Amino acid sequence: MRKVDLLYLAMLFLVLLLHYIVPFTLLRECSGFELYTYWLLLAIAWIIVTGVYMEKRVR
Amino acid sequence: MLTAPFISLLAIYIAMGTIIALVSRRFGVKSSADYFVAGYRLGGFLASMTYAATTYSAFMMVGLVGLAFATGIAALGFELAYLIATMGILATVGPTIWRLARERGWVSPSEMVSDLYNSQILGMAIPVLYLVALIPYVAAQLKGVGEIFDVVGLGYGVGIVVALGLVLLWTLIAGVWSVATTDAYQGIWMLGASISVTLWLSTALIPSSNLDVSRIVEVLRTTASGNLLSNTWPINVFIGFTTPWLFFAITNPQVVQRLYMPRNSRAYRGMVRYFAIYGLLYTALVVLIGLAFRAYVASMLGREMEIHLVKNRDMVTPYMLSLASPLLAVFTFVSIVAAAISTANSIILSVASSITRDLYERRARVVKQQTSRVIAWSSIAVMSMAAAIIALAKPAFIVELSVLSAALLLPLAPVTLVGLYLQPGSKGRVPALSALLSIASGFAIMLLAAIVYGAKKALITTWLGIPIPLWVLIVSTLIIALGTFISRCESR
Repeated sequence: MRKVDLLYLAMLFLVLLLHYIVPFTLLRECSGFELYTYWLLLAIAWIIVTGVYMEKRVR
Repeated sequence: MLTAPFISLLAIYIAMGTIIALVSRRFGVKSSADYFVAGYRLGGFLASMTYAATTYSAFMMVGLVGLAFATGIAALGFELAYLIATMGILATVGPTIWRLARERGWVSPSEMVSDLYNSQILGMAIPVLYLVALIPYVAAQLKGVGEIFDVVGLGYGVGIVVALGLVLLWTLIAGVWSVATTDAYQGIWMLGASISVTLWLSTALIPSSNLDVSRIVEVLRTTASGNLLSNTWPINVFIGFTTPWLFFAITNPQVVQRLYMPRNSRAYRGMVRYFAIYGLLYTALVVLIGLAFRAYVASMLGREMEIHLVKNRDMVTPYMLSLASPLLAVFTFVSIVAAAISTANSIILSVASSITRDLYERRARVVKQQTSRVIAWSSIAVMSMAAAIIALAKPAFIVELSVLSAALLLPLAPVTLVGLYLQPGSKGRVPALSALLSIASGFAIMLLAAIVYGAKKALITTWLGIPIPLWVLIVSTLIIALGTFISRCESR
């Protein structure tokens, strides 16, 4: 397994952790659409990272 | 009032879909590889659209709108957990499966596990697992169609019969070619409807009730179910519901099989990219629809109606559309039929491929294409009818049925991952036996829980503070890990 693959897997675990932990801690009580925006931005960021990774990795 | 426009639009939808399915026959179906995996030659766009339409079922516009309406923004986290994990799987495990499928000539999803562990017994056991786990899922799709027909005044039973007919027609015409092309067509219909409903809510219904953004926020913070802008799901419910979803991409045969199909690496990347964009947009819109309509109901129709719809959340979408123009309502209803059909026929075709390949073609000395075709068609017909009979009994909530199906297939996740990376092409009894034990144990735990607690409670009940789906994953992983350890000790 190459370094870039390990880095991608580590990021996957980190993103999933953030997806689960933040809504139960920092964003437990929301007064607006903060949680909606947070989850959406996290998913968008992850899609971009995955796109970049696949361009390099899947040939 | 909606009956006539619904019949008209449904007729157009069926006619166009059937023309598309008939045209797809020109791609040519000679072997079971052509019939079930398009001869490994799908382009990026078609691959992505069939992946999206197969994944996103009646669950979205009926189940997820209702879930967002009843429980708030947590529904977005639940669905996006799936998308994030699926992106991870499609970028890492997916390319390995795609490459091995063409190298080894895999056609059915169970053939992959059977080949990785060099075990015919696994190839026979997994199709049975698919049948038990996925027929309720298909039934949930047909139930969605039945409910739409009921709402427009055509009757629940008529909806089941029409859905059954469409599944059979579009599957039998050209196998996965007709399924993939009609999936692409239906996927566009589904996304188009969700965009139209969002536009209608934001430009017509919400403004007509004098709700602005600040008022919507205020209403959603103070609903009968609490602050819907916060995460209202307890942690055990969130984990219990999302765990089966995280591994959906490598446990559910209809999506695993789609990894075999892209014609080259460029098409594979295209499939992942377009699916991600589709999934994100569709999910964000569907949750927004549920939330916006909850704000409307809470502020305009009173607490009694709000609570009634929370208790009957599968009726939220039909009720919402009863307030829309007939054209938008029937367009969306037909999109829900499309979502249900595109998922149901993909599942049925995928399970039929497992039965045909693993129970006949890989065991027969001489494979006759005519016999393969008869087995495939019979499997498709029997499964469709079984699902229709279950759907007629009106099973539990669509969301729970969908997640329960994924939970029953969860033990396939560790078995597939170990087979791909730790024991590829392993010989000897221990790896295959441990894989079989791992699948059987995980499946038994989930099935037992579903029987004892019921579909919904099985997903959220905890043992020693751990949700049952997580137990399934832990037990299955431990068994396959132990098998791998013993196998490695033996080989040394």
